[in-house]
Amino acid sequence: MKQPIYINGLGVISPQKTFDVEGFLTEPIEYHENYILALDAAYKEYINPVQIRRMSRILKMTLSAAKKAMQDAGIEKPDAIIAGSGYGCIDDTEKFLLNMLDNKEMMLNPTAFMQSTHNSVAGMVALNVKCNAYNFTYVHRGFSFETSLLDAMMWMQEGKENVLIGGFDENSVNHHTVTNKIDFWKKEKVDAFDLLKTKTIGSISGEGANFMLLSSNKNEHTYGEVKDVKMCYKPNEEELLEALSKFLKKNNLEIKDIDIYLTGLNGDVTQDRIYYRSINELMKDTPVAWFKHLCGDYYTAGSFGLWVAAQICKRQEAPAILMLDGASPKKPIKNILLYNHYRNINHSFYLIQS
Amino acid sequence: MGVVSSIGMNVEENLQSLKTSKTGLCFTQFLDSIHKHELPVCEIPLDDDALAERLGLSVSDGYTRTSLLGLLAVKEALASAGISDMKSATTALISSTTVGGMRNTEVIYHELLSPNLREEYINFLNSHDLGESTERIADYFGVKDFVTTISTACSSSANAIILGARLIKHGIVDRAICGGTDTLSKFTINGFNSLMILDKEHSRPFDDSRVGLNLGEGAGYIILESEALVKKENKKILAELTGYSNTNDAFHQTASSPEGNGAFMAMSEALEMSGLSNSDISYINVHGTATPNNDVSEGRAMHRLFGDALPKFSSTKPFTGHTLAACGGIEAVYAILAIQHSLIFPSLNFKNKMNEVDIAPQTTLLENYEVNHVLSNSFGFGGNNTSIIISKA
Amino acid sequence: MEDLKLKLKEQIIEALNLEGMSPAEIDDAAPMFGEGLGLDSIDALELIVLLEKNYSIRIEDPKDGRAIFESINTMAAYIQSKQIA
Repeated sequence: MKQPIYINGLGVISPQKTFDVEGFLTEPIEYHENYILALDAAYKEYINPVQIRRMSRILKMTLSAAKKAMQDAGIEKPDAIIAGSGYGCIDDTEKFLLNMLDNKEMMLNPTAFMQSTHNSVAGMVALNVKCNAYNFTYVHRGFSFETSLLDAMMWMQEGKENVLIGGFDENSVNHHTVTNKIDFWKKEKVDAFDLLKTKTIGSISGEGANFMLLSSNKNEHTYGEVKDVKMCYKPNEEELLEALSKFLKKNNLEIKDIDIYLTGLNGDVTQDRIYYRSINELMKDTPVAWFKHLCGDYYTAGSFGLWVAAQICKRQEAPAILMLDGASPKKPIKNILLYNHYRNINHSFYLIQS
Repeated sequence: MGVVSSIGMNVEENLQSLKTSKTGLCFTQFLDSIHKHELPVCEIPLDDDALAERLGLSVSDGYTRTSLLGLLAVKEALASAGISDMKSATTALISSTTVGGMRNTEVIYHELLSPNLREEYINFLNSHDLGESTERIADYFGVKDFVTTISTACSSSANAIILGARLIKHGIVDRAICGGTDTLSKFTINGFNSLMILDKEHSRPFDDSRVGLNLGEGAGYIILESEALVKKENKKILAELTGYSNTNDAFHQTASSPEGNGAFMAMSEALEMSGLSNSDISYINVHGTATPNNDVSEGRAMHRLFGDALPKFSSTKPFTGHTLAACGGIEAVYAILAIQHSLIFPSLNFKNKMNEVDIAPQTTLLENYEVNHVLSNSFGFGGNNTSIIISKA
Repeated sequence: MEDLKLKLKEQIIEALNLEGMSPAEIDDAAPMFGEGLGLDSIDALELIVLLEKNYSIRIEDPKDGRAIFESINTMAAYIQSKQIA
């Protein structure tokens, strides 16, 4: 029998009030820049002073989020730790790189190099909870978090009970400058909540540390169940629609069973076209929601989307800020289909059930 | 299987170098570093244009050195597995790297940031992240079914092999191209130098006088196929992956625990999975970086696990240098070569046993030695420990 | 010598990001590693960089650091001996 996979703990640090708050997006913050940062948490409550002094911001964010997810699920030590990140610890990478170039390769501080390694996050979490188990880091653009999720799901079929997964990426000014040249981000100022009204290319650059404790046990901590995840690499439109219909069929669902279609719409006209095609054709009777106006876009933004879906499942409500065109979800909210893609290259479907 | 390294541009050349104790150690021809006359490295003696030419590509299209090395090794691997049509079976590409496009980024970083970017660099604006080289490889060979990248420092490509095996086990794909690619860069040379673990001489794994490692570059990939696919296509099998394990030392951000707990667990769990007993292992290709810390930790873990019945072991890092994300893939190829040719490769530069643990590697080439099961270790920063077992088919 | 020690403590606090610590709280004779300040091997490498940056003193072998960085006293004495020489 297939082992069900439950989301039992969440720890999310994002540009919204998602950490150490009771409500679910009750006070959404609207940003007006194309570069938005996560709200810093009270990191010292999660990390001891000896460790924290050396940590970069992304390490503080991820360790706090990871610990929160475990606390939320009542788990002290998971059976595996799997993290995904598009850019890893880009700030420390740039720090060491610039130091090296500007100081002509002399007198370089090892700390930035050591922490620039992509797996420093998963390693640090393991070190912190003394977890000797499986420890992986995926770094494949818009598949980084999705591969982590799939890997966790495979392990749980093989008998691991509690697996910590996380998606994280941080913004950095230099990196923003570079990717701005290839039109990743909007050139004009934009009001985030009106992102879909813009008719220009580019999105807003966001960040976050989004951790979840997946468990094979359903209990009072459970938010919802992850039924499936599927990645599609560079599909054309036909292949994409075919993949979606196969995905639903495999899970014994039809389009009418989907109560919320949660999309990765990001306000880039060239990118959003792909979502609209499915919205207009297949999902025309399904309530549509989105989330990137809240967290910005980044390689692992799908992990924020999964947090949104998990919260909706548990609370059986979707705040209006998430719903497109004033739609309201079908109730009870049973099936949420999350579809996200990064720059029309890395496409992913997730199915979450309450 | 396919491999490029400083000791050869293909499997056959690597084998010849391993048999004749020919190392890739040199001073860099291509890196403009202040350390270029002081810190030796294991560099592939071809510039980017020459590498691209072998693939019929042009560097200005945005091919980083990391991509080019990966492409060359995967090309050989596909040819050796007789795969010409990617659509004949669902195929995954699982590649790994630690610094991705850094080699190119560091040269043009200020250019990339400047408002007046030169035309020739436009194609490198999106080549820094670690997934980029994987997508270049996927697109070149037409892999579409499953594409991902792993980065767990020096255990990366051994972990790519683990993921490939598990995807096949779960029926997600029938075939997986698994390995890694990394290039020398000023970034890594200076990074390891700031940790003071680079040797100015040729590295000496497991020797009491060792002070550190030499960095290298390269790429190594193996192709895993399901039993059903192999039967269906009546394929020749090079070897079988019989065990694997990844564990975390949870001891320190960069250092391994002095007792090698993570390493011990990884080796024991891999053995347990394979169903083999300790005495079945014919050869251990150790991680053996020659840093003071790694070799004691790994050595103690081996001693704990095998006691006085320690199999023959050697580190091939003095041949290739430490190729970071690529080493697990490259050494998996060497493990297969050891089985195919009944060889144990020498651990170069070893003279005296370490003070801390009473073990000595094989120092000369051993021929006509029956190798049935090879344990291959790859350990990395962040406490990441991986052991895989490759067996005679 | 006292001036040097004070300066050194300030530099160590900055380089190792010992947030909230003041020079007065660091005992000249207390061990910096393990029990005392609780520093580790990465801090030792950072201290080597500190010596090079601020005092133009190069330590080639990280093993030499152990004795030099035992306490503020030993570190200051080492700097002074190098400066006189």
